[in-house]
Amino acid sequence: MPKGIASFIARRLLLALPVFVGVTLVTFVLMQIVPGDPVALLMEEKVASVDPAAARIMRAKWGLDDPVPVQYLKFLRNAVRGDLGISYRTDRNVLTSILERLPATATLAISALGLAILIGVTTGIAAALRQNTVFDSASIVLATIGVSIPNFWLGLLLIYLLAVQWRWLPPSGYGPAFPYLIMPAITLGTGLSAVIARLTRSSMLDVIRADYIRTARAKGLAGRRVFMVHALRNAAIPIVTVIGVQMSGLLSGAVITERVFSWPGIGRLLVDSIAVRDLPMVQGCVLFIATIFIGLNLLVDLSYVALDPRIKYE
Amino acid sequence: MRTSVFTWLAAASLAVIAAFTPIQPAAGQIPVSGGHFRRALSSDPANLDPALTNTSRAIAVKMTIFDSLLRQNPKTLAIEPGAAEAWSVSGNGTILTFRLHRGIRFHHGREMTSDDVKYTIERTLTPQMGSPFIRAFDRIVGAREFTAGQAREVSGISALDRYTVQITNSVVDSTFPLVFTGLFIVPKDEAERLGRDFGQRPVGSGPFIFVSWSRDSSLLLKENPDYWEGRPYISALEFRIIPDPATLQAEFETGRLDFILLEDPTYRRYADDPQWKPYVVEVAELFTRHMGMNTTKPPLNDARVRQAINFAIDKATTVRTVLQDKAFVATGVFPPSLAAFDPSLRGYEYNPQRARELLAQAGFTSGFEMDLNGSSSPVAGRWLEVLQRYLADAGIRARIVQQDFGVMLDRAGKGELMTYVLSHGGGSNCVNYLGPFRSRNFGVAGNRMFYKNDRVDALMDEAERTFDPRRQIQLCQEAERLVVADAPWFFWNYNKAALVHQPNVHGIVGNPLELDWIQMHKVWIQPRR
Repeated sequence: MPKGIASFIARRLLLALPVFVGVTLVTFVLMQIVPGDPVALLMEEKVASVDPAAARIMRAKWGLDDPVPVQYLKFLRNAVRGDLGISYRTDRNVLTSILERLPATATLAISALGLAILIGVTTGIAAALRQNTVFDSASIVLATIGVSIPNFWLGLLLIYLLAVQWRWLPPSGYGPAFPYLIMPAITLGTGLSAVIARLTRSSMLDVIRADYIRTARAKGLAGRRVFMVHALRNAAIPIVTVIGVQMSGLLSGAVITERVFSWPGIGRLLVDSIAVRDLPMVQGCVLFIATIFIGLNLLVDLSYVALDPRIKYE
Repeated sequence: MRTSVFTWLAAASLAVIAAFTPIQPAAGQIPVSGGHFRRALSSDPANLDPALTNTSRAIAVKMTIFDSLLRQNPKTLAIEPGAAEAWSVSGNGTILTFRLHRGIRFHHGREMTSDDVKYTIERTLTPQMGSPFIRAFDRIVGAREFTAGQAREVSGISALDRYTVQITNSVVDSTFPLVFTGLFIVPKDEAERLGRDFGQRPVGSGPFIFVSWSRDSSLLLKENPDYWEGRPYISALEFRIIPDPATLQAEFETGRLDFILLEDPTYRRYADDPQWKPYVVEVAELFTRHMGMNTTKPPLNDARVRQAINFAIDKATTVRTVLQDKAFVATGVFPPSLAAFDPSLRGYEYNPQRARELLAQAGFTSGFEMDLNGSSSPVAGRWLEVLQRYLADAGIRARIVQQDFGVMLDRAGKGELMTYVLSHGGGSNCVNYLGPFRSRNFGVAGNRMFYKNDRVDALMDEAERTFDPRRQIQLCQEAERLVVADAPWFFWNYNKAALVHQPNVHGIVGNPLELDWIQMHKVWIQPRR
């Protein structure tokens, strides 16, 4: 690895530390500000009443008797050691709970994004190459529709058609990719494919009008080579950037899609934990999401070097 | 809000499709063994340790894995033997003696003994456990010393022999035996071996054995062939976690769930359909939906104003329309399933004229303004809008405030809210059911109205000490009449819980405590032709 890139990675990883402290601090403060006592919420879920004696004991168990700054510092100390604590709600290790959901989240994210890239990039390129044709107009219309359809609505529509009406697929559940992954991946991938298609089209249109493309053609290079080596590679930078951001978002959990298809992902875990003010689990999920964002952003930045030799990190 | 509208639209579409699917009536009534039974939970039970979770969904699972010392008959709510084949009360009502069935075996093979019962209670009282159930047992002699670390065991719990356990309470409390209907016995050796993991890999003595748990997805149990009450009919029991109501309905319509709970929007669709109606199970659940009124905040500190609010709202119409008939009009605190239900209690009829008169007497001829608090769910939003409309007719300008359910409870408990709409589930004993009206329970302990009536307190104290069920009911009914007259609640309706099951499913008996607390070992599936 070139020295410049190594030091760039090291610098970025070093910068990640204040980001981690920042996001956990903000989350911690927000969770303190939001009304609702986690102990009361856990006890009230069934009987809507709180026993003060039991509440005292539960507070002591979870360290909620400590002054608030001490609670945060203890969290930080333990987090540095890789211990994200125990969930109030499940009484289980937070890191284990998050890692347990990682396969479901990653499977859905990668499938949805793969589908989106396949459809989006192909359609975008084809539309750019056939600018101002019926295909181009149709792709724009479809992309607009794709972006506009809310996930939950598309999900329910798919359930209605493919599961209830035609009985081709199970309505929901988590299991083997076929048949369980198809509907959630389509639901989540549709909106993304539309975004990628539009971006690919506009990016390609910018590039194929550039002087160096005309020069390449004037040199007598084959159309295919001009397209693949000169045009697509240069058009890829904004597309890769968007894909990176979208992937980060998907790995953070797609709450609505997970809910509609009963998919056990990180999004549902986070939302359920917020509802009962399960601070250790919320902090764990936030840290995980921050890690994903930082890691993928770094990968995207590094990919620029491969895509455009003019970009150098020093 | 938009999510919900579309969700229910989709649900309605699914219902239309299903309406054309022919359903054959059940062929036979002789129980058949075998089959994989699938039911749903709206969210993950989180933890299955009997000492830790008290959510209704966790209990629905735990009651299939564990045995409780006593049980409640789902039809009569009478206390019946469970793991204890016999029990008695003596010593002026402070000593309870339980004799265990012989031959109850935990899933790892060891026989249940009185030591396990003692251990189960002491485990709950251990501070490191952080159990929300400490209150249930902390009046056993020596319990507080044990929890405070001043004693190594609870002196009031004695294992008299291998199968007999005696528990001495420090106070006379006629509701104490009820506690043991929720005491799921854990095996000492396995609970100690597994430690914190016990809640994730529970070992009980119940009709089903834990197999696997995919968090937020499904929980699988298998039959316990050696169950002391007889082998369950179904061979596998799966709890699937399905949070979305439209998806839940689709799963049922496609035959992938054996029953589903019905919410207000879907209830009529099945209850009115002659093809599904035979498979709808309904119970008057022990829940009273109400609007609590903070009796310390003017003008709600005036009983006439609170009574006016009770007269101002047409309960029958709201039940028929916004609740889709999935409720019963409330006349007081106790629902019809409770033994203490008083059919002679008339409550408040809809009388807007009387409401205006009472407001005028209280000095509010031109009404007043108040906040109407409810949870943030779309369903609660619809309820609040209807109540707001009726209150407006009486001149009360109510401002709807929707907030997170926990936040609302927290704020109401601190006395910050004037009103809040809530469903009260008080269990099967009238003394417990009236808990929110006792002044000792001010605030988060349940009395969020900060209501105080010395006579009600005295009646409840006496009812708590009374073991004669008839006398206890008389005392409760007298207290209820006082409460209704004082009107710290707007007594709205009693929840009608409903489920619909597949035509080939038999043996489901709805439980008024919580509809889906079903004795699953008595359920069987007729194989489909």
